[in-house]
Amino acid sequence: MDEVFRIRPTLGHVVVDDTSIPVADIELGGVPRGAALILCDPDDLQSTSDDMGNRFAEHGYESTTADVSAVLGRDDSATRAIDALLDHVARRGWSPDQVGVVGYGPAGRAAFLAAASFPVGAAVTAAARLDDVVPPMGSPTAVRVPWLGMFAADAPEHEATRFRAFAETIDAASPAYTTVLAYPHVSGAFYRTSREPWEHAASFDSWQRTLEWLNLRVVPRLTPLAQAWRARHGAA
Amino acid sequence: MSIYVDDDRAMPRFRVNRNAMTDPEVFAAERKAIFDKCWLYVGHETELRKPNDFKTRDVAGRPVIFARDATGKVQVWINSCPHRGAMLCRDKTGNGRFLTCFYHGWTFSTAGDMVSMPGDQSYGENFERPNLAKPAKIDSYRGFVFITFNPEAESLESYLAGAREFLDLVCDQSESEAGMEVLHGTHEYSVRANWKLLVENSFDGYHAVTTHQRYFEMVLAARGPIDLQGFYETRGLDLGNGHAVVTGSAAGGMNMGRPLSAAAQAEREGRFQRLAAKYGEGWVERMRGTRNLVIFPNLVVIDLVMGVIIRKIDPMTPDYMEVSAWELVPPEEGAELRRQRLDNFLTFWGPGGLASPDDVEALETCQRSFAARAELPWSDISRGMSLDIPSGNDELQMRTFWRRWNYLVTGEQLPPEPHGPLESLYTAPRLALDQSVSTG
Repeated sequence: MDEVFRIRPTLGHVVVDDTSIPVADIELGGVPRGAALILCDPDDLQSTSDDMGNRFAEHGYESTTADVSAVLGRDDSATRAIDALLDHVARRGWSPDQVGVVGYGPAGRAAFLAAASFPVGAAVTAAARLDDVVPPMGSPTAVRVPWLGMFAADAPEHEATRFRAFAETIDAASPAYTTVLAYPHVSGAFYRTSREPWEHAASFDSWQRTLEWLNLRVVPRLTPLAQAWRARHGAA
Repeated sequence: MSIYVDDDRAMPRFRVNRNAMTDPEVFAAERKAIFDKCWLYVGHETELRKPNDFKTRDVAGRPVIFARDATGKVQVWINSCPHRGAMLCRDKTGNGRFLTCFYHGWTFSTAGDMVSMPGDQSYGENFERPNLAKPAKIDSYRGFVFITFNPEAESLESYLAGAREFLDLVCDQSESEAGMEVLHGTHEYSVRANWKLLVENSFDGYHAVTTHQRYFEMVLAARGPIDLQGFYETRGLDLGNGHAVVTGSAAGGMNMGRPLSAAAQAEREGRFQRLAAKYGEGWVERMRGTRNLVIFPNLVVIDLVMGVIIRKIDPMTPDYMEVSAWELVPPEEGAELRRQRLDNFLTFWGPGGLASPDDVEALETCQRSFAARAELPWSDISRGMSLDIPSGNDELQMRTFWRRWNYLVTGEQLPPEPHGPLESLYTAPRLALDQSVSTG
């Protein structure tokens, strides 16, 4: 039996400022661990939702995958879009701190903005280029919730200093914990599955780190018995 | 008379029986009478920079999690899942709001509350959901965080007694609002010797020149002739509750480490002058000096001007200890002063430096030689008993430690030694000349 059961996402739209953002939702039964808001590139909605959304589902996360390409390039628009997407996720009862925001490719910038502007549980950026995320002048330069930035470093010997400087800057400026790392000898969408050894290693490692980042920080949904216990005894 | 301490005031002579360093029963007794009762150092608040930062440490043989929770409050938890005991957190350091036991998946927050247990419906609605266990008390003094497993323990402030003043002398050295901070990185090493030997060694002025000859040769090579007067301007002090210090004048401190450039000297001098305007000349003159402080039983703070180290000594077995050391710095200091601190932290205090390996070798040979304790049962710590004012090269500070140890382990109370009053160089108080000064 080598067939893998995959959940087929429900497609829809979230409208922000007259812009329609395509979304794909995966909803789970029982008591899910948390929710993932997955932000992706244009034309990637179906594949990202099928792939990443199902991977998160295996670990108990419901997900909303959103193609935010229409609002990228304008931070104010992207921020309003994230606000609307968090409202969309909240219809299933998820408070912001129960949501992990993960942005792939250029949408990694939107995940960074989410970490800068919203009290989400955690945020992750997996982007090919640091330039996709490094804030332009006047943009937020600090994050308020834990943020993990993962990047490709095709020529690590030339880029190490820049990554280190960015990591130190964002860490010093942010009240929240941050980590920045670069995968050597990869370019492009390193977070996608690949047979090429460096890319395979980057894909495997970046997924592990993403999941652990969220598991360590996204507030879990309490079970009915846990809620009843807290109601009786009070939470610490 | 205690079988471990011979405190002969008539001769005078002070001796410690070497069984105190070798006997497993003594080790078990001091675990119970000292480490289960006293306030013990866990770490410094500045090691936990951000919410949900954590460190894992051993305190009194127990694994603990030293964490800052999501609200910023410093917490200490027993690092063991209340379910079946597995270590909840196996990393030395990290960041995470939720800690999940890898054995059965029970999850707790850094605030100690249980968050989830897989399949909780099988436990029923009335099942007592345990939070993380914690020590009886946790408190801090100027960033130094202590815990005690003794619910009846006196307050930390009272426990620290006269040691508070010497922590103030260290902590006042920063002008920043945040106060002194611990740098990233830890020296960790082990010594095949009883833990109390390193306590003695940590404020043993007598051994410095003989044991650390190589270091002083390096200083002479770097500086040329040095002012030996500074080595005589030292005093040993009993600070109460077993805490003691060797403190010295600025002249002694300036003999340590590599020479500074004129610019770095000016930076340091400027800082001391500004601090003198806030705390008084006398206090800052003391601050310019040196201090080797032992906070009973196992915390050492050494400030030899060119660097401040925090050393935590963990007894593992009667003849084996583990040591952790951190560097405490004023965060605002310039690059050269920082470089000199780090240089001294490495070259003098480092596990591969010019001093620590000498000390480790000395202590390990002591421990090996204690195999002949039938023929040589006593170690002598009498130096300076007959003096009106003992110097730092004398051994009042060690006797202070041992009298407290003896009292807690055997119940025998030995009176403190009478000595003459100290000069103002060692007693000038901290003034509050500028009320805007933060105490860190």
